[in-house]
Amino acid sequence: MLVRLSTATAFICILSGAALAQGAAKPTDPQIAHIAYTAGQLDIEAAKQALSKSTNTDVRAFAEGMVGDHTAVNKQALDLVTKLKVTPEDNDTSRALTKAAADERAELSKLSGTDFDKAYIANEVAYHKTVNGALETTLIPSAGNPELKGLLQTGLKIFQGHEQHAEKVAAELK
Amino acid sequence: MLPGRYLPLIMLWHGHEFRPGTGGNNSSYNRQDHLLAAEINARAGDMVTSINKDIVAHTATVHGGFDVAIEMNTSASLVLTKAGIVEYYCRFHPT
Repeated sequence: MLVRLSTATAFICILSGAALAQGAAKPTDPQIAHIAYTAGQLDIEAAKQALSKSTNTDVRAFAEGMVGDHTAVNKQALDLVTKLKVTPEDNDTSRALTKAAADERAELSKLSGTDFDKAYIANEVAYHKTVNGALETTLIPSAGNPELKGLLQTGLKIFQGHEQHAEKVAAELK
Repeated sequence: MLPGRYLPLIMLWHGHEFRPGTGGNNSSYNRQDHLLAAEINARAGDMVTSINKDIVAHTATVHGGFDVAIEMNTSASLVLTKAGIVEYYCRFHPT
């Protein structure tokens, strides 16, 4: 529980820190594309870890959904940046997300059974909450290209569904 | 089964467009938004087509019944064979 809470808190600090740092210079489209793509890939990796460890039907169904949806959304993102000739640019927010996700995966790897399921799903709730918040308050408002903004808005609706799905699974695990 | 007898179809689905096909039913319902529930009426013998215009895959699933995967930019149809309430949900997005 402590581990989970601290990880969620770390994410929030990272993203709000990034938002603050970007207060003067908001993220550029190449940076926004990189952050959104990275966030999706990290959730796919988390789901793959869950699929390798969990035997719970609901948890596995959720994880399979994450792999399917984030793969599909990121394919759209790659197609769009190719069309727009935008090269995604690595940045502090992407790096911080990647580091935090690696730390979380390491923590989750120590757990098994129901302990793993609960921790994975709790982190998914926190992760989607944080990333969705960042999309709403920073990434979508900062996006310059209308097509990029549109894809982020479509993604947000899908990811809000993920947050609700994770909350439902979390409630069932209790 | 009687002509004029309507089947309430409760759509608990998102990212789809629902379009009753031929069969004498003039009702139609278009749906492209996410997250909100929808409901349409159709009659026995009607074909209901779901067009997935979303950017992710969905399913048309009924507990203990059918389970059809619908990839993006594809559609799936079913013909209603009897009167009754059909509750759909998407297995990938069950909220």
